[in-house]
Amino acid sequence: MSYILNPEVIIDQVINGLTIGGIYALIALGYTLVYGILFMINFAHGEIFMFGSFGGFAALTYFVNSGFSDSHPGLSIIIAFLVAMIISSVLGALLERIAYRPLRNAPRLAPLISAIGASIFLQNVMMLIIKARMQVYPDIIQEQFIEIGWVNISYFQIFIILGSVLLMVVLYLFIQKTKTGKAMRAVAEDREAASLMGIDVNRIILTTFIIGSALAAAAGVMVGIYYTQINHMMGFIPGIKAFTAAVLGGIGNVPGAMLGGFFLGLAEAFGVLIMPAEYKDVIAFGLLVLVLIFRPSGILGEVVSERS
Amino acid sequence: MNKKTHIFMLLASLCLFLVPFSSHADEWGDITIPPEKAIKIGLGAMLTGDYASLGIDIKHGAEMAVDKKGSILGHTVVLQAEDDGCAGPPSVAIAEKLCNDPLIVGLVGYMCSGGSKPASDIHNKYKVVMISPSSTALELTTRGIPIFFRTCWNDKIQARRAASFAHSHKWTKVAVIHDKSDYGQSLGEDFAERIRQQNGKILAFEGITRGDKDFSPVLTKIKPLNPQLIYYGGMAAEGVLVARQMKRVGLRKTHFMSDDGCYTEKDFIQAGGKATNGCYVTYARQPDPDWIKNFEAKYGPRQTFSPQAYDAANILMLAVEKAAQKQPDGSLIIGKKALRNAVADTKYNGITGEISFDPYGDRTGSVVVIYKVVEENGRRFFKQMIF
Repeated sequence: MSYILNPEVIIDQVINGLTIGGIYALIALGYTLVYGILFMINFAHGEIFMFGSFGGFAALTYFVNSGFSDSHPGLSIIIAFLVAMIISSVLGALLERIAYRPLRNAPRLAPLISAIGASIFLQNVMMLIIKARMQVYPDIIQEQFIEIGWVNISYFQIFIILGSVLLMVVLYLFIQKTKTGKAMRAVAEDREAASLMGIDVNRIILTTFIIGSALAAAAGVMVGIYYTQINHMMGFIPGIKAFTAAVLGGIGNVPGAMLGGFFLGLAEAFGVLIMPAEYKDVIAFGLLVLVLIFRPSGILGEVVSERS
Repeated sequence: MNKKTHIFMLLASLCLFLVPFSSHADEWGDITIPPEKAIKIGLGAMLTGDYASLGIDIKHGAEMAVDKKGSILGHTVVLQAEDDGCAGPPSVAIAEKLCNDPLIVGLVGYMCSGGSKPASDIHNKYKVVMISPSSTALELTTRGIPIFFRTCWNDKIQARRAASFAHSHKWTKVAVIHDKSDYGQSLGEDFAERIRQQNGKILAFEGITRGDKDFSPVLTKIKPLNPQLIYYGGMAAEGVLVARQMKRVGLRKTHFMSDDGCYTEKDFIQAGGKATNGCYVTYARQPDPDWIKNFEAKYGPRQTFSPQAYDAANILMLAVEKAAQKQPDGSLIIGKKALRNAVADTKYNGITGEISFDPYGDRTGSVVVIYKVVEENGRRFFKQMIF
């Protein structure tokens, strides 16, 4: 077991943890943004992530077939991200309009059940589209590595970590600095008062769903490029894990979701070092149980006021 | 005793003699195919999900055999394919469904060892014969299930072959990763045992979860042990990611070796990109090239077990032909035990070679071959190693 203290293993494992953590954090933000405003868990969020991943896949496959990706590899990846984000945003907006808005004043259980139904529906729609086969992302850019002595870092890992941090910074600035962001915070604090101040609550809620969905789509394309395999069930486990991350950081709290995502990724990576690898999922869900028992409000969470 | 009783006794004893002849009573009961009804052959394989390309390949192989045969003793033959999910619970559900279907004579399947094992108990209860083209776990033929046969090999042969290949290359420091399934884990254990017997060292023995995509943490854990070889017991969807992520964490000099689950051009070679070049897998000898040509003209590139499924379906249909008794009204009566014995006595020259079964249901004389992924003239394929 001495190799656990080997600094190179620790550096490698930190990189591994931050990579998957960044992905968890991006998905977790969608959960937390929606919860902050509506006090509901959008369990179809994992499927929005999945649709984003397939949107990117469709775009990249098209570019590979048309030969565009050979001449412009970087540009085709950027377009794939945009396509994925647009598809997921539209889907998120539709979901809010069709599945959640009619139930906004219903008891809290109703939107939850509606969310689970939407999740199953979306999984099956994708299953019918892709015939339930595993799809493989095309290799547009050959993976390169940085080797510093024994430590080995892939450019993909750097790209995911920096990309996710960048998106989080943009989101944070958006919420803190723009007028819409201010309105989002106001609606989160008190929906009725915000509406009395002339804020269009419906529009703000719709915006929240669109932002959360776009972030999930970005994570979906990252997963596709990094892990290469996607299928119609791919949203389930990352969705649950990102939900864990959101709870870990304090659900409803935006910096909390970011922290929770990275924390969960690191916990998984280091858990594997001390435990057999088959317990990787146990670590994530064990953490969820522990947080719910000892600190239900999460690491950064304050006690969230109940909706009156 | 009066005269009436005498006559009655006489009639009764006559009946006793007649009964076995008139209904052909089989110890395990009969399958009756009414006139003008089709004979159904069941098939269990994963048709949706991560390993679907393997399962659909199996389905195509069996379908080709059934289409070619067309009919048995005037009854058309149809294939009823079901999705066994490569796991226990769905396989058991299908087993119950198909065994209770009066027109099903037998089944080609199930695809995965984890499904075949519990399903074979159901089949044994109803005495419906099953021939798996792809379930290789050793346990399946050591449990004394009389109705289980397979046209593939068992994992003991496969693990031994892989281990002696490792020995011949002097790879003595080995790490084993498996997918915790009946198939992958038992294969990994067999392989590790053989390596130890050859005075090799198992540096790590780790399980991963099917469906997971992120194996960098466990590979990073293995990396400082500096293994010469990583052996993966499991299917291609995860195996190809292990091979890819080995390069990612920096295990570039370590060889990768896996099993028949990874012998698939689509999910291993194509899905893996250049990272799979130089990987080793074990699989059977190549089937009849003419057959491959016909198959690929109809269904596109073959993956893994379609030849074994083709042979399995043919063996089953030949056995039905042998065991069935045509009745004057055109119906067929097939004794379940007679059918099982007909399968057990098979001497068949199939596209995968001579097939006969040992008393446990294993194929006799099966040979496992080592393949290496190579790139020649811009084409990447499995090249048979001379070993």
